[in-house]
Amino acid sequence: MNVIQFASVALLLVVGTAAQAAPAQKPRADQVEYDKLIADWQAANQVFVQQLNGKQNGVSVPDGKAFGARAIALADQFAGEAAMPFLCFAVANCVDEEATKAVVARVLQNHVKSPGLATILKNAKALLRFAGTEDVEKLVEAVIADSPHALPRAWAMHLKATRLLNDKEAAARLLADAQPLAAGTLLAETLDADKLLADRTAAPTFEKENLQLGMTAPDIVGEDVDGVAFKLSDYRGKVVVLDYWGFW
Amino acid sequence: MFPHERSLVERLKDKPFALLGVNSDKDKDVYFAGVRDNGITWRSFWNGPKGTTGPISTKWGVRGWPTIYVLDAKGVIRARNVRGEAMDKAVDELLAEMEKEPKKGG
Repeated sequence: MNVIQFASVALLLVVGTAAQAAPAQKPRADQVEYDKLIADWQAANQVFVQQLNGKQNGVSVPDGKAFGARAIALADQFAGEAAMPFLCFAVANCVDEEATKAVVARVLQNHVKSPGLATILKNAKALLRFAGTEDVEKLVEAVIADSPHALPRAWAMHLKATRLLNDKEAAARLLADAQPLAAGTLLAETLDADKLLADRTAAPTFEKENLQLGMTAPDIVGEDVDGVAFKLSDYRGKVVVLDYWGFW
Repeated sequence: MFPHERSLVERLKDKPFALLGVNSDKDKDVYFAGVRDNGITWRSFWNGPKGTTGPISTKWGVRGWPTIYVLDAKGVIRARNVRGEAMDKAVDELLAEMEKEPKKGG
């Protein structure tokens, strides 16, 4: 019972957020429809909560599927930004696969640059659960690349980052892709910092195991100051003085 | 120190000897100006734009500058941090050792 009560409170809270997110200045028709949708949703939740409080058997959970379908139909009825509150409502409240998929499809088609997208992208869990990782990734990339608005882009990056944190291999691949792009820049140094730290930590052991008298010197593979590649081992057959130096 | 190393390179120019540097100037312009003003004739690896904390010196754990290793013809480390006359002596001994050894292929 406690779990269901908690869930009902959560549902009501999302309604509150979605209602607030509705733009204040709207053409009359979509505003009226939106208000009706929210009123019906709240009424449905009211019944649900009353039933819970009355400890009635067989409580009727608000029908997410029906509300989702209604929201999508309304979104299709109103073009441009006016469709956004309905799409937001569907993702945030309906917990329905069909509705969530429909939202992602419509956003990809018409609303990638919408300033109201942040409210949709906040719902990472619902998006990934119902709309599939592939389409959500497509949406996230499109928003990061094309949205002129900071907040939706930030949420898209947040979603992407969350996914990367859970996918170390993908993160490593991305880092490997980034390195050549950043060559010679400050970013490259940052990316390189992990390796540098590892080398620094390993240096005392390296010195003990490779750089003592009588040991064959480890090869150095590098470039000279003119950018020509060469190796320390190119000089086998000669006595070599290796001098770590600089003018500074 | 440069005059000494310059004279070593000059004296041994016909011997199987090479002075190689790991140059740790962050700024290549500083390097090129220094090379011009000091008559540097030997080749150096560049330690990269991080200078003394570049990858080569970091891996080798270099903390003092200059740090010197003397390697024989097989690449074996035979002396460390010899300067001035001690450096000359180490190099001359290794060259003498080479001349005593029978020639091998490669």
